[in-house]
This record gives sequence, structure tokens and C-alpha cells, in this order.
Amino acid sequence: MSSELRYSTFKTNVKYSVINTNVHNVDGIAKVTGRAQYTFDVTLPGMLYGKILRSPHPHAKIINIDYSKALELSGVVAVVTGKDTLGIKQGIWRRYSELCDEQILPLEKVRYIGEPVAAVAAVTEEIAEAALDLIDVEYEVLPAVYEPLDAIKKEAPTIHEGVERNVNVTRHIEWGDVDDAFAEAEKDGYIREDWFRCSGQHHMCMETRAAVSNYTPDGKLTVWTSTQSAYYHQALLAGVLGMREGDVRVIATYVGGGFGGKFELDAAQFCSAVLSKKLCRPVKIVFTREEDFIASKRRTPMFYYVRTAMKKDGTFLARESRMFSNGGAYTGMGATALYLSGFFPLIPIQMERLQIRRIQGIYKYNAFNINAWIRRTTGNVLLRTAD
Amino acid sequence: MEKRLLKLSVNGEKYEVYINPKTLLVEVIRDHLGFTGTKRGCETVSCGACTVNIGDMSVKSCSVLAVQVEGLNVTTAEGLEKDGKLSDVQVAFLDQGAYQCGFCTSGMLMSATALLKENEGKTLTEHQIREGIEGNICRCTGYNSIVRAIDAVAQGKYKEA
Repeated sequence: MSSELRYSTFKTNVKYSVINTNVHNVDGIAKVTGRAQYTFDVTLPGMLYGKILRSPHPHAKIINIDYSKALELSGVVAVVTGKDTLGIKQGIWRRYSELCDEQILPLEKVRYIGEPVAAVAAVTEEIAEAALDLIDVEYEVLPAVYEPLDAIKKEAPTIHEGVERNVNVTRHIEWGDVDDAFAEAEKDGYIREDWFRCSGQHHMCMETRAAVSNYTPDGKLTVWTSTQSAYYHQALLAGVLGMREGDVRVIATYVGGGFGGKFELDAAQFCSAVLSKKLCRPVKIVFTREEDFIASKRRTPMFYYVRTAMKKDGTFLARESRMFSNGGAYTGMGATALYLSGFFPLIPIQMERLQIRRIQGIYKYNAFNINAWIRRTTGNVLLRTAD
Repeated sequence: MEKRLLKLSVNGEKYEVYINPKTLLVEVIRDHLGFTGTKRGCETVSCGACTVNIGDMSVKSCSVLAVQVEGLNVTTAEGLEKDGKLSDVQVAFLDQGAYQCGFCTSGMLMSATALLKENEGKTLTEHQIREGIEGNICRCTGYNSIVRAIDAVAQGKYKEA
């Protein structure tokens, strides 16, 4: 492997201050010397380690949580459940109350496998993990639903009370007269129909979700966390903890990958903050790889119906697409994903008239997935296949 | 299990730690000694973020018990730089921008260092370089720049004149 081209592509005799020089990233030295400190590496004096007890059921009522035995275990400092929280339902679309549907430690029922039901703080991670086995949770298992097209049926179990047919968000974008264009293509042109299905994807960042929360007696909370947006977490945490935004400080250290998956408030941040607030001690929670896979936000599986109208000479006339997204148990970024997926089928082509019709997000219960989440590329990939 | 004393050398310094025999090397390096440059990305010897060098051999430190390295020399990413001077591999990584989020970088550097040491003076094909870092996952998928960096060192571009 020795192509000159691979090292230098721009030849000039003029000396520039930046061009033709190796400009190192500002974070380069820290990263190649192991000095870069990720949330995963943060250790504070007096810090406790947290672990989260997760639901084994996709849909169940929480009848009772008994953690008295866990508290007896030497080294366990505290256990919290939904009862230790304000029970505020949160969501990243915080201005829209109907989209704020998630209590990270739920009070009444769990809606996905892996949903947090209790969190333990102990002096070591090992003890915290052992304590999880000593918590007795009594569930009343409810029927679950796994596929979006099943979830919209009349007889499907209701995941969120008051949400009709489990449809969480609908989007409708429309430009121009699509029916007219299709009528034209019907007469003298072509119409193509396609169904596409893309599976859910996990971002699988190298660094799993992690947070170190430190609530101090002066009523201030500092959270070191692996996030793509420190401000979202500051605002969301302040909201769920009943604090002023100014009293919450979020420090986004180096982030071991995000890829669009680290915007929403996650259980590591919330549970460590609740534990820390209760104890006035720093608490660190790091998801295991397994936890990250089963119970963190990911890109949602989507079903796409695409109908394209063309003239005989190949000019695109119009496109209609319908999309059903398997949004998981809670809204999260699902509303955003629906919106973006509605726009991306338009990007690479020019059309005379165009409409995207009935983009729907179906509130669906998924055994693994928490939330609707899609990265922009997914929409594009779909479209390229569609073209 | 009864705890025992472990003596090892990390980045040229001698350490003694009192550990449970089932403690993994990565736990001693990170949690007992505080060399957090070594990362942990999985718990299944899959990702390679915890790669360190034992002697000149690259090893995923979550795959060995700490007691197995009794008396041996372990090098982590923090130990590559000597007297404030970065190693060739580190400079090459900087020049090629061979890192993005940086979480896999420490492990990549250690695998690359071991690969180059093993093949000192030999030319490496792209395939050999890729094979040399096959145990390390970069989820930002920045492999090409990493391969270019290792290639540059292998070609002697960083040799002192």
C-alpha cells in the first residue's frame, strides 16, 4: 500500500499556513495518550456505584416492590423505585405534553423488557449487582404486542391509557395534487409500488450509557454524562427532579460515540441523579453492553409503502409514501424520526409534483426497544432502495 | 476467595495490589491503578478497547486474570509516550486523524504497536495491517485512517533521520 495520492492530494508551491500541513484535532493529544477522560472514567471521592433492576416482562402492572432484603446486604446504601421520584412523565419533546409519556422508574406499569423498576447504590458495582437479586417485584403480567401492524388492531392491548389504537404520533406532509399526477401516469406513464421494511438498529457506541451524578447539600446537581447534548439533559433532568435548570450542571466529557442515540434522558442519568439526590453522594451508573442492547434507545424498525408515478420519458411525476414505524414503548425521538423519514424520500430526485401522504407512527409495543429512534441515514438508505 | 498480593509493572513503574484472584487485568489497570486510558467496551472479549501490551504482545486485558501477569511488564496507552515524546504510532495517528470518538484509540494504538514491533523492518501489506487490528472495533468506522497511520509508520515515515 503505497500510493502517494493517499497521503497528499493537493500539490502547490505556494506556502500556506494550514493547507498542506498536518493540522491535528484539538482533542488529538488527549485521545492518543489515553488522557481523554470519558464519563466511564470519572471517579469522585465517596462515590457509590449504581445498578438498575429491569423488568423481565414486556407489559405488566407493578403490584409491589419489596427491597428490604436488598437493604440488609452489607455495602448497599440505598434503593430507589418510582415512589422516590416525582412521577413526572418526560420526553424530549417537552413542549408537547402528549409526547411526554415516560417515567424512567415507572409507578404503575412496565412497557418493555428491560424497563427500569428499581435502582441500587452500593459501595461496589459487585454488591449493587448482588442486591438486584434480593429485590422482590410482584408483577401482574398483561398481554403484550410486538408488531406495529398488530398494535393498531382494535383488539390489541392498550399500551398507554387513552391512546387510541396505540398510535402515538401521526404526521402528514403534502404538497401539490398527487391524485392528479397519478391519474396522469395511469393514462400515459408508469406507476410503481413498493413495500420496504427496515429492521431496528442499535447505534452500539463503544462507550455504553453512563452517568456520574453528584448532588451536593447546597441543592446543586452536577452530572457527568456521555451525551450528545448537555443542554437537553440539563433541562430534562431539572424537569423530572423538580429543580431549577440553573441548579443542574451537565458536564459532557469526551463521548465514546453517540451516532444520534445519546440525546434523550436515559436511565443511567436519571437513576444516578435520583440516588445521588437521596444520598447527597456521587453515584455512578454505567450500562453493561447487554443493558445497552436491550434497554437503550435505538433506530426504529420501519415499514414503508412507496408509490411512484412517472411519465413515459422517465420524468418523475409524484410520489406517495406511507410509513409505519415501530416506535417502541415510549415516544422519545420517534416524533422526530417520523418527520425526517417523511422528508428524506424527496432529497435525491426532482419531481414535477410531489406528495408524501400519511406518514404514521404507530405506537407499538416492542419487547426490546424502548423508543422510536432513527438516524437520518436510515431514511436515505430506504429511499435509495426505493429509487 | 482469599485475596492475594500481586506484583506487576505497568508502564515501567512497579505496583503492588491486593486483589481477589478472580480480578481481571483490566480491572486492576483501570480500577486499582487508575490507568483509565484502557477502556472497556464489552464484557465478552469482543471489542478490543481494553487491549494492552504484555511485553511486546498485545492482549485484551479483559481476557486475562490479573494474577496471570505476576511479575510481567504491562504497557497501556499512557505508557507509549517516553519522556514527553509521543511514540511514532501516536504521532502517525495524530497526523492521519486516526481517531474519532477516541474510545477505541487506546486499544488500537496497542494493537498497532505490537503489530509493528512484531514486523519491525518488514513491509506490511494493507491486508496484514487490517489483520493486525482485527480484534479492535471502531464503531465510528474510521478504519481507513487507522490503517493509513500504521502503514505510514511501517514505511518508516516517522523514523528519525
